[in-house]
Amino acid sequence: MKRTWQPWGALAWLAGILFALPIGWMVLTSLHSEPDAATNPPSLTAPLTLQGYREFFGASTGQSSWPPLVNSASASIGSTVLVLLLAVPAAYALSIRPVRKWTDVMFFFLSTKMMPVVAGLLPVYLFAQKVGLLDNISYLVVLYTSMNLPIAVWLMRSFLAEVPTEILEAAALDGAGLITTLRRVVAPVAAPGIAATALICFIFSWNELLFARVLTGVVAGTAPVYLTSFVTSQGLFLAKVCAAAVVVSLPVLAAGFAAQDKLVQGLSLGAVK
Amino acid sequence: MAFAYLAPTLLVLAGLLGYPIYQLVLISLYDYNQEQVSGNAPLNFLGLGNYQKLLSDKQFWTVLAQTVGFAAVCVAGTLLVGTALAVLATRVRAVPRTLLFLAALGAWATPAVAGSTIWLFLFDANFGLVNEVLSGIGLHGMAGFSWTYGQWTAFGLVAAQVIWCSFPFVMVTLYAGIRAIPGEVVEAAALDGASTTRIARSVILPLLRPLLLVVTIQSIIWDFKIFTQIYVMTNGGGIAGRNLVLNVYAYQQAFAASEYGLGASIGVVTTVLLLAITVVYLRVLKRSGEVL
Repeated sequence: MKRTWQPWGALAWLAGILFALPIGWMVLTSLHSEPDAATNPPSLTAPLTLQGYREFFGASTGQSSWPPLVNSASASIGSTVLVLLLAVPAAYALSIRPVRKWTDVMFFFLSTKMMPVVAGLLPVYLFAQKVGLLDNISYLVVLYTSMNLPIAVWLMRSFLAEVPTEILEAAALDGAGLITTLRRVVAPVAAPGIAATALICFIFSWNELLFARVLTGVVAGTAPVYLTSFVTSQGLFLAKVCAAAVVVSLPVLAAGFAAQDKLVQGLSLGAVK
Repeated sequence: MAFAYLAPTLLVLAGLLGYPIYQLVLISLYDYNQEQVSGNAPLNFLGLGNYQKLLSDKQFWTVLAQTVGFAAVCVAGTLLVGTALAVLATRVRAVPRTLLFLAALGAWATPAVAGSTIWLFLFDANFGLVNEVLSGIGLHGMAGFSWTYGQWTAFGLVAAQVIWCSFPFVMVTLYAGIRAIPGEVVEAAALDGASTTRIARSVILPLLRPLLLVVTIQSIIWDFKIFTQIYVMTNGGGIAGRNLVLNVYAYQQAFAASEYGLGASIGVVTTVLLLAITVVYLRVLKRSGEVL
C-alpha cells in the first residue's frame, strides 16, 4: 500500500510546526532580555538569558513567586490522590463486576461534566463565605476532587475493562479479598491506565482558573490566578510574562509528554473500544 | 456487593454536585446581594422575578446570541482542524506523525491562562509576530493593527485560540477511530474500483459517524461553557461588555456586581440549555447503539 507520499509528509511538518509555534515562541521569548523581547520586528537570534526567570522569581523585587506554585501543586496532587481513592473502587465495580444498569450510572457520571462551572460556583462560594472557607486550599482540593471524579471513573472504567475476567475468577477461587485482588491482580494490568488518569486529573486541576479565581485570595491563590494578575501588572515586560507562562505550564507539559501514549489513549475517552 | 465500591463516589458526587444545584435554584428565586449574605438585610422572595428581569434584559439576549454564534464557530473550526489533522496523521510516516501528536499534546495541556496570554502576545498590535509577518508579506495595513479592539476580530482571535487548544481531542479520537477500521474493508472497496473520495464518503465516513457525533456534541458542550479565554483575552468581556458570553456574563453579574440572585438565574438558564443538549446527546448515542 502506498500511504506515504511526500506532499502529505510536508503538510504534516508544516501543520505540526504551526501548531507548536505558540509554545515555541513563548519559550523563546522567555529566554530573551526585555529589550530584545520588545523589539519591532521581533528578533529570532537575540542572545539567550535566564533574566526573565530570575525576575519572575523576584530577583529585583524580592517578591517570591513560589507560594502560588506550591498552592497549585498541593491542590492538584491532593485532589488527584482523593480522586484515585474514590474512583478506583467505583471503576472496578463498573467494569469488572458490572452493576446492573451500569450504562445509566456511566451516563450520570458523564452528564455531571456538562454543568456550567459558574452555576456550581455560586452556591459553593456563598457556602464558603458563610463558614469561612474562603482562601483555603483544602476547600479547593475537595472541589477539584468532585470536578475530576466523573471523568476519572469514566476513563478508568475503560482501562480496567482490559483486565481479563478469567484471572479475576481464578483469584476469587483462591480466596483473594478485594484489597489483595486489586493489588496483586488488577494493579499490574491497569497501572498504566491509572497513571494516565491521575495525570489527566492533575492537569485539569492545575489548569483550573475560575474556581481558584473566585475562592482564593492572597494566601491560597494558585498559579493560574497568579499568572492572570501577573499579566495585568507586568504586561509590558514580555520576557518576564513569557517566563511566568512557561513556569506555570511546565509541570503539566512535562507530565503530558512523559505519559504521551497513555494520554492519547485517555484523550480519546475510551470512545473507541 | 459491587454497589459498596460505587457508593462513596456516588455520595461525594451527590453532595458536591447535587447540593449546589439545589442551592443555585433556591438563590435564583431571591433578591440576593452582599447585604443578604452578611445578614444586614432581610431575604426577599422574588419567585421568578430574577428570571423576568433577565429575560426582559436586552443584553442577555445579545449575550446569548453571541454565545451561540461563538460556540458554533469554535465547534466548526475544531471539527474541521481536528478531522483534517487526524486524516493527515494516518497518511504520514512516524516522524511527522509524532510531531503532530506532540504539537497537539502541547496545545491541549498548556494551561488556558498561559495559552491565552501567549496568543495575545503573538497577535500584539505592535510587537506581535503575526502582524510582523503579515506586514512583511505586503499587507502594510497590518502593522500596528489591534486584534482585540474590534468586536469581531476579538471574537475571531479568541475562537482561534479555543480551536487551538480543543482540536487535539477531536484529532486523537478520530485518529483512533480511523485506525480501528479494518484494513480489509478499505482494501475490498479499493479492489472493487472505488476512488479515494468514494471510499472516504461511502466506507470511512459511515463507520466514523458515531464517533463524529460524540466529538461534535462534546465540543458544543465545551465551547458553550468557555470562560478562561474570553476572560483573559478580552479582559473580562471586551470593551463595554461586547465580547461577553453567557459564562463570563454570569460571572460578572454574580461576582463583580454581587447580584447573586440574578447571577444564579443565568446559571440555571445555562444549565437548562446544556441539559437540553445533553438529552439530545444521550438519545443520539443510544440510537446509534454506541456502547461506551
